[in-house]
Parts: sequence; C-alpha cells; structure tokens
Amino acid sequence: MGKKEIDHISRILAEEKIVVFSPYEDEIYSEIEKCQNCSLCLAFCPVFEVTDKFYPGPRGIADELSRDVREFWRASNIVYMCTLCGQCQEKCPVNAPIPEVVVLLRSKIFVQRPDLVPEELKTLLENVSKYGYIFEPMSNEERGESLKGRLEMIGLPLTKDPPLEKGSKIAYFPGCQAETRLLDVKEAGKLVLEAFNVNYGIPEGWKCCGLPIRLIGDSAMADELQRGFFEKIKELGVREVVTTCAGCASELRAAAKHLGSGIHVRHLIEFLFEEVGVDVISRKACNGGNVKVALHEPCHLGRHVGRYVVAYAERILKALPNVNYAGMKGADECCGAGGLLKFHDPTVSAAIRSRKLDVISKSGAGLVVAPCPLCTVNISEGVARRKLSVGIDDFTVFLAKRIYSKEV
Amino acid sequence: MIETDVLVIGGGVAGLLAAAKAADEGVEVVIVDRGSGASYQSSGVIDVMGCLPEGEITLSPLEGVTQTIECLPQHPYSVISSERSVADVIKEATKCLLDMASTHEVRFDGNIEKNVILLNTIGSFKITCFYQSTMSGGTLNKLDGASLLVVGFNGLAGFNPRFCASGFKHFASKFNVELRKADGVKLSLPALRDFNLTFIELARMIDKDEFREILAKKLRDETVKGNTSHIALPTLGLRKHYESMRILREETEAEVFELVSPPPSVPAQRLMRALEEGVAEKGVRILRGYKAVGFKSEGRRVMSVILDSGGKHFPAKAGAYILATGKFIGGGLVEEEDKVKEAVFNLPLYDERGKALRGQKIPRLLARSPFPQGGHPLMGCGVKVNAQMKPVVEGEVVYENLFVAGSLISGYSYVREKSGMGVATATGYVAGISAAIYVG
Ligand SMILES: Cc1cc2nc3c(=O)[nH]c(=O)nc-3n(C[C@H](O)[C@H](O)[C@H](O)COP(=O)(O)OP(=O)(O)OC[C@H]3O[C@@H](n4cnc5c(N)ncnc54)[C@H](O)[C@@H]3O)c2cc1C
Ligand code: SF4
Ligand code: SF4
Repeated sequence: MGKKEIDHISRILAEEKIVVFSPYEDEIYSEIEKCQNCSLCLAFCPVFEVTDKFYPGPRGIADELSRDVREFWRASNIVYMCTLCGQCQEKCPVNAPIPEVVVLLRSKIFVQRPDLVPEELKTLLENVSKYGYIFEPMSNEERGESLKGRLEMIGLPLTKDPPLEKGSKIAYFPGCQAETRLLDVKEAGKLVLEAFNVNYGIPEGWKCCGLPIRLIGDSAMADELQRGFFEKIKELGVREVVTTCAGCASELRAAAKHLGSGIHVRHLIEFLFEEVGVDVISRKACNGGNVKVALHEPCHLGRHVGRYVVAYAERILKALPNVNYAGMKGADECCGAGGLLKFHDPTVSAAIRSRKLDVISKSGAGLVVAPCPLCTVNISEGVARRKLSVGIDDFTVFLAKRIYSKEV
Repeated sequence: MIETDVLVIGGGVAGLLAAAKAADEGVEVVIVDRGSGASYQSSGVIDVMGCLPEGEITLSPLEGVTQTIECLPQHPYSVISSERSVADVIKEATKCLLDMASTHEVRFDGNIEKNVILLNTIGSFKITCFYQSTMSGGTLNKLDGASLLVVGFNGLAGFNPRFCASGFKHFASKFNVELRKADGVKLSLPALRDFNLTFIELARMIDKDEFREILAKKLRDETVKGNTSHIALPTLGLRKHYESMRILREETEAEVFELVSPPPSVPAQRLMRALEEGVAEKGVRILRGYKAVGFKSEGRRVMSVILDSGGKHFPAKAGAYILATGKFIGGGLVEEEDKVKEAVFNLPLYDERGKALRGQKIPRLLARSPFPQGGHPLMGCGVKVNAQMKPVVEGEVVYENLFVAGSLISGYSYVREKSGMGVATATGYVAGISAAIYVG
C-alpha cells in the first residue's frame, strides 16, 4: 500500500471514529480472549461486592471487548467503576488482564465519545493542562504554611529541592499527591535519600506521571508526558528513577518498559532494600518510641509492580528497632481510592474503604503505614470520619521520622 | 528472600492440608501461590471415592477405597496404604479439613462410611461423601415423599428449574425415592439483571438483607401456592449462607437447601476462604502472586526454589518442599511442544495405570470421544510418589526433601472415580507429616 492509500484509509477510519489498535492493545485483546466467562473473578472484585448499582464486574468488562470496536462506548457506565485493584486478574485461572482492558476501553471512549467521560474526571484533566499536576496546587502562601505546620507536627526539617543535574544518579519523582496535597511525603522522601547519602535530584519542571491521565482515557497525552520525562532525564545522563508513590511507581515502570526507554524505575522501598540493605536502614532508622505497626499493601505496588515490593516493606518494618510489626489480615485489600473511583463515585469508593477500615480496626495496630500518599490520604479520611484511634502514616514519612526523631 | 522449614508450592486443597498438618507438627510453613486452581473451580463438596474399580457407583466410600487398594496398586490411596491404614489417613485428613472449615463458618455433614446423592443444577445428581450443611436438605434419601419446588431466576444462565425438576423425578425413581411432586419456577425479580446472570452474582445479592427479604416474600407466596415441603435454590449466598438459610426456612416453613452448582461454585469459594483462614490461624503464611519457576539442587537435595514476582526472581529456601501445584487447571502440568511437562521440577511423568510417559504427544492421551465415560487418559497423568509422597522414578526417590501432594499425582482419575478432594486431602496430609518429620 502506498502512502496515499494509507492516508485515505486513515481518514475514513477517523471519520467513522474507528480507532486502530496498537500492537500493545492487540496483545491485551488476545489475552482477554482467553476469558472462559467462568465468573470466579466476581467473588473477589471489591466494587462488585459493595455496589448495589448495575455493575457486571470484571467478567462483564471482559465481555465488553467482544463488541464491535465502534460500540466500546457502551461500556462507559461500567469502566469508570473499576479501581484497578487487580484482584480479579490474580485469581483468574487465565490471569485475564482486566485492569488493562479497563484502561484500554477508557482510552477508546475518550476518543470516540468524549461526551461520555465523567465530568469529574474531565476537571482533573484540565488541572493537568493548567498546572501539570492532577490536583490544583495550593497558593504559595498556603503551601508554605501547610508545609511548615506538617513538618513541625512530625518534627522534620524543611530542606531545599536539589535539582537533577548531570552526574546525579537518581531522579526523585515525588508525584502529584506529594507535591500538591500530602506535602510532607516529598520532604520525607528527600530526607530519607539524604540520610543514606544518595546522589539524587528532583527533575526540573516534572509533571504528572501520566497514570491519572491514562485513567481518564487520554493515553496519547500520557504517552507524550512520559516520553518527554524520560528524554529529559536521559539528556542529563540519568538512568534511574525513584518515587515514593505506588501509582507513580507502577505507571512509570510500565511506561519505561513499554516505551523502551531503558530507564529503571523503583519505589523508594525497593531502592532502599536493594541498594542500601535492611541492616543499614535499621541502624539509621533507630529512633522513636515503641509502636505496633501494620502495613497497608497498595494495589499498585503489590499486584501491579509485584508482591515482592510489599514483602520488602514488611522486612524493613520488622527490622526497625522498637517497631512491633503486626501482620494484618486483609492488608492487600483495596482501599477504594484507585482507578479515580474516589472522584467519579465517592460513595462506592467510601464503601470499599469502609471494608479496609474494618480490616484496620481488627489488626490491633496503633499505626498503619501505607507506601503511597494516595492511599494514606484516603485511609486517613476514613479513619477521621469513623473516629478510629489508629494512626495512619505514609511509609516514607514514617521512615523519615524514625531516622530523624529525637525522642528515644 | 524467603526462608522457612517447609515451603508449600500451591495453595489448593492439597497444599492447604499439607501446610495445616505440617504446622500442627510444629514446623514453620510458608505457602506460595500464583493465583487459583481446580479447588476454586470445584463444587465445594468432598468426594472420597464414588465408584468401584470397574466403574460401578458405590454408596460406600470405604468399600470403594478397599477394592481400589486391592486392584490398583498405583493409586495414591494404595501407595499410602503400604505404610498406614488408608481409611485412618482419610479419616484424620478429612477431619483436619472439616475442623478448619467449620471454625470459619463452613460446616459440613456426612461421614466416611456413606456416600450420598445430591441434586445438582443440571437436573441430575452428584455422588459425594462430605457436603456443606446448606446442601443437606437436598440429599436424595431425605426427599422421599417430598413436595419439591426448584427455584430459578430470570436471567440466571445455565439453570432451568423446570427441566431440573423433571430430571430429579426421573433420577429419584432410579434410586427408589419417590418425590410426591417436583415443580420448577422461575422468579422474575427487578433487582436482578435478566440476562447472563451468574451464580456468584446471585449469591452476593442473597447476602444483602434487602434482596433476601424480597426473595423470602416471593418464596413464601410460592410455597403456599404449591403446598411445598422442600425448596431447592441454586445458591444460598457467598458469606451469609447460614443466615439466609435460616431466614428463608423460617419465612417459608419449608426445608430450604442449595443445589450442587457448576464451576466455579459458590460453595467452593466459601470452602477455600475458610481453609485459607484456617491455615493462617495455625501460623502458616500464604504468599500470593508468587509463581515457582525453577529450582536449584545439589545431588538429591533441592537447595532452593526460584519464585517469580512481577518479573523478578527470588530464591526461597526451605528444609523441605511440598509440590502441590495441581494438574492442568492449577498449572502443575503444562503443555510444551505438544507434550505434558511438570512445570517446576520437570519431574518424570506417569499415566493412570502407573506406566511411564515416554514423551507421548498430548493427542495420544486423549480419548476419541470428547466426553468419554472414563475421562481422558490425560487426566490420570502426573508424578509418581512413594508412601511418604516423595517423587520416584523407577522406584528411586528423585529428591529426598521434595514431597508431592494432590492432583499432580498420577495413577488415578478423579473425573472418573469421584475422589478429587479425598485424594488431595489425604495426600496433602501425608506430605505435611512427612515434610515435618524430615525437617524436624
Ligand atoms: C470443575 C471441577 C469440579 C470439581 N468438583 C469436585 C467436587 O465437587 N468434589 C471433589 O472432591 N473434587 C472435585 N474436583 C476435583 C478437585 O477439585 C481437585 O482434585 C482438587 O481440588 C485438586 O487440588 P490440588 O490442591 O491438588 O490442585 P489445585 O486446586 O489445582 O491447586 C493448585 C494450586 O497451585 C498453584 N500453582 C500452580 N503452579 C504454581 C507455581 N508454579 N507456583 C505457585 N503456585 C502454583 C495454583 O495457583 C493453584 O492454586 C473438581 C474439579 C474440577 C476441575
Ligand atoms: S476474567 Fe478470568 S475469572 Fe473472570 S470470568 Fe474471565 S476467565 Fe473467569
Ligand atoms: S481490577 Fe479490581 S475493581 Fe477492577 S474489575 Fe478487577 S477486581 Fe474489580
């Protein structure tokens, strides 16, 4: 086929709103064809469990891909309900990649029927265009105060952001939640890296990792952002990214692979465990009083990156002096914030969180740590609303406190 | 990365039982599992032995086991019996399983002396030994003289209550049980989707108080209309099955029960959840999302097993290893170049009669008819073991600290003889003891 013919066909396809599949999308398609329609996944899907609304669950989502491509928009009432927790895929006898299908369908709907993309999600996307982050940042004044207050409360100093330069080894990627909401996570991330003498910098002008954008459906924009980010740090000769957010870790890691960027992306936990080692970590993080700690296992770390990362987290917690690690039954259950469900359907999201709060109450822990600022914020809100007496900390903040705290 | 006394690979019924028993013996146990297997797909009842070696149905599991031992030396029950009374092992092992289940809200009825006939959702029957007490009302011998109403739901795929009712009448008379009446009714409830509804969805709905209330009213109306004594439902719920059964019984004053349902059945989900909680309570750690992909050995000792998580590989070290990865559904046996292969250790394979597979291609292990009477010979393939459940080849132990349990073992076909969970439980139990003794 000559260029003329290809252009002609592309034009017709575009007019008909038929979107051609990329090889990567094709792969998902062929994976999902293995679905036997057995319905086992329905016994594990948290959304399916809590909602009274019409939600056919993972099996139904798999079904949607058997439609004519032009009809994908019909799935719009269901694909925004998925938290991408990945429970279904893990238990499925053929490991059908439901979360990936959800993202694929969302991206097709975004192109074919943008009118069907939920309004709340569109607002978030506007934030990215305006500010580069998924949430609107606080004003400088507000930010300064919030930061000061938070750091004072936890007894950590405020330090400058070291820029990423030629010769830096690690690009630290704080992520939107830590940049605009849970500000202490970014500070704690810096302090922890400094405590272990890591040669790192924060890439100038970094923007959203792309995960929420992809979840809204704008996969073209997500790809572009990610490509740009990787190019930029590569120009500085940097090949390694460390992040403190579970969502950023899984998204950037998948993107790095998918775009063939040659960049190695790790969550801080993974980096510390592999490069610093538990012994050194526990020698440094030896301050602070006795506390009984449980671990919340974010879906994006445990099921998307790999269960080994939460196993690392557990090993680190167990090794810390004065930390009494409490195994929590249901540690790996979704907190309800994922997939942007929290913004799209706060009621269902809160119902899933409520299950998580039950898990936490039963654990008997005095403190729950979550290696993800998004989960931390979400669970904290639930704990406050239910007036539970348990504390919630982001993992990085907890670690920074154990390193820098003066109390013994 | 992982270091423990006993590492169990596979968290199906066999792996769970092995872990439970080893933990009872006082050793540290970790289970790794990549996802799910046949146990999750099962009917959630425990078959011990449903027929005699010639294929005739038997109502005495013990008789079935005794004759099996006499006639089929390669059968896992026969292998166990070379050192202990297999009846005792089955009794202890199933007790261990039922105890764990019942402390976690899944109670069983039945005993090892007797098989029962349960009605199922395709209008025929299933023969089994231990069954969840939500199904008890539907044992055929209790239905003599009953006036039975089979209740279906508009939209529930693969379940036709009227067809079932007539099937039950037919089968009951074959076993000399007279159903006074057997009718089917399909309820149309607005809360339910009216197409392609699954059993698990229905179960989750019945768990909800509001829906249960609506259902109770409907059922009461139907009972009064038909003067019904027994009501058969496709499911009684995923988590609140006892509460639902009690309330529906009170409302209808009829004996409400659950039918045996198709894979992946709701009762199997309940059973698996209960067993997982049971072993966790014994201090066993279950690590999900880890797949065993290889191993390291020195001579006849397994030194470590390589686990994959998110594409990274980690060694897991243990004193003893229990391989309970199941057959094709579990992933213990895989197809490679048209041949069957044991996925983790590449152990030599044997067929149902105990003969070594010598690289036969899979088509040669399939019967000509798609649904053969005795099942496909392929289903009897697996690893050969000795009385401690150590894998053997030509009588020699392959690895001295490796034990095998469950459907990965060769020499029997649960499809044909109805012994799936029984063999998984008994071999798991023996493997658990053997591994604990080995490391202890
Ligand atoms: C549709 C169906 C219905 C059945 N109904 C009944 C019934 O009603 N009553 C009855 O008694 N029997 C029944 N059976 C038989 C019974 O379910 C099986 O014999 C029994 O469950 C086998 O248990 P298992 O533990 O050996 O294997 P499985 O349950 O298959 O467990 C194997 C486990 O190992 C894991 N695994 C596999 N490979 C790896 C690896 N490399 N790394 C980590 N983990 C791994 C899998 O994820 C899986 O969880 C039924 C079987 C089927 C298929
Ligand atoms: S996605 Fe997997 S578990 Fe769900 S219906 Fe399909 S095959 Fe079954
Ligand atoms: S990823 Fe989670 S929420 Fe989404 S369909 Fe699967 S189980 Fe349900």
